[in-house]
Amino acid sequence: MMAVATFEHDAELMLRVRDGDAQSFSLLLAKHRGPVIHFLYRMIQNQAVAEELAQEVFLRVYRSRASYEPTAKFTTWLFRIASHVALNHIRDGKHERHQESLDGEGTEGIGRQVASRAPTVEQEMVRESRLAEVRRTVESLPAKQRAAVLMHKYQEMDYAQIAAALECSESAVKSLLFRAYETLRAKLAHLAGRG
Amino acid sequence: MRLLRRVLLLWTLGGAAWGLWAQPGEPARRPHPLEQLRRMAPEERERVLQNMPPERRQMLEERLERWERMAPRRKQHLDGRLSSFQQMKPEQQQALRRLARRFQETMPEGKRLEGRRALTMLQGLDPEARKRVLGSARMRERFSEQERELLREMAENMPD
Amino acid sequence: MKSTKGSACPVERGEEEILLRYCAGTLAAEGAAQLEGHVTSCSRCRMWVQEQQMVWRALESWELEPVTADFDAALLARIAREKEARPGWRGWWERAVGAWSGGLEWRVAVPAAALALLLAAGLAVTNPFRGEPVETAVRLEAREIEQAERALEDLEMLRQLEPPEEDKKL
Ligand SMILES: [Zn+2]
Repeated sequence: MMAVATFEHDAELMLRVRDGDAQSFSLLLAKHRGPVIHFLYRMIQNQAVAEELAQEVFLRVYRSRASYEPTAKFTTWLFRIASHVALNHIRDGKHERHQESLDGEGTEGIGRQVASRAPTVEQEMVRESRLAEVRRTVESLPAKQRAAVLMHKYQEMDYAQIAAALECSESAVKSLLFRAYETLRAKLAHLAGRG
Repeated sequence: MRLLRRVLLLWTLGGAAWGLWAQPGEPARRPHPLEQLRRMAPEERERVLQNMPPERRQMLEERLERWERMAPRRKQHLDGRLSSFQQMKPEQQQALRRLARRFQETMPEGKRLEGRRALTMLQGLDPEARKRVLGSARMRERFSEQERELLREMAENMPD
Repeated sequence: MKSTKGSACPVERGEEEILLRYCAGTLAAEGAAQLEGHVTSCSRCRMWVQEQQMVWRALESWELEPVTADFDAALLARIAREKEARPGWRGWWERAVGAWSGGLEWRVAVPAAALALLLAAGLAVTNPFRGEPVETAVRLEAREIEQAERALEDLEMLRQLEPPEEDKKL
């Protein structure tokens, strides 16, 4: 029931953007900017680049407003654009060398601070090293598998939506996810047992 | 506490800007015009600004409103930064304005965020450490030579 | 899930995909209950599910950085720039951009402000704001308003030199 309402609402907003309504674009942006940036960040693992690519995604959304037809769910369409932008970026090798280092020299410390808890240094180190392992492992996945897992896990998209976003068949999505999770299980399953 | 802070703020703001705007014959120190504007009721502000050219007025009002929306600690922090800035020599102030403009114009959009974070970090370092960090592989990987030079110059010219 | 191929074990049948859906919680209640019965009795499936749940939790621990505060402003400014060639949309985009004045490009805003200040300085010599004196309790001279403008400009500059996450700190 939620999905139907969202579908109609986002598509309706997009149709209004097509008709020249800026307010509707701002609403779409406010709602989807977070998920898109987070998806791109997990794909590329560099916040500044992810935001730059997200700008590209929303620019494309805006540019294609005239031809927009609400045939698919808006989020699916949006993530098709986002996947496209991310996969192109990776394919062109632009992501080489800009993954933020995990131990860091301090330049990105501020954004990472978690103010609500005050863990001990040891807890913090364990948490950091586990997070580093998660990030490394996700990064080691082939780009398309990575995109499928991220949409499946974090955007909670179903196979059909992921298939539409990645422009492949549902059975191809199943196979992508299966292989990806196999790798993740092999490399990450020990984490929960530790600490 | 609040009063003390305000008095201190007014004192530093007013003191720094005094030479520029104090008029001979004016009775006592008045708060900095910005502080006066901030304190005004909306109708009062409306009256005071009514003859301003519309574009400038809009910009000024937007900036005042943005400040009003900030959390108290954020306001305090930024006012502190401003008051340190205003205590710098005019030519230093001008130098920082120029550098800030160069930063906005020459630093690629995708690097500005990292640049701002790097700048915050560099400010806290002494010149020796700054040089070391700027020469590190990590910084060289992220920023071009000119960009690192710009960050160094900015870090040197930032208010305390 | 009907077990028509002899074994009820998804791992044996090479149908782990259903275990994945079980872990993701996207299996219908009936199917989930059935599978749960099997999983508790089958060590291979139990292991699979446990590992998958650990992966799930590991992925959930991945915290994210806050989005830059001026993301929308930068985007709307880019769109406004694109629209400059076609003025039809300009009016309302500028209004939208105006709402995010943080995104006003400095290369536009600063020269404009500087020009405005210059003009004002010229005017101030002869006739500040070319209006009659305002009869109110509080008065600010044109010169003082310029000082306020300058201070606000500097405040904005200092704000924009700090990382945007500072804006979110209380
Ligand atoms: Zn089994």
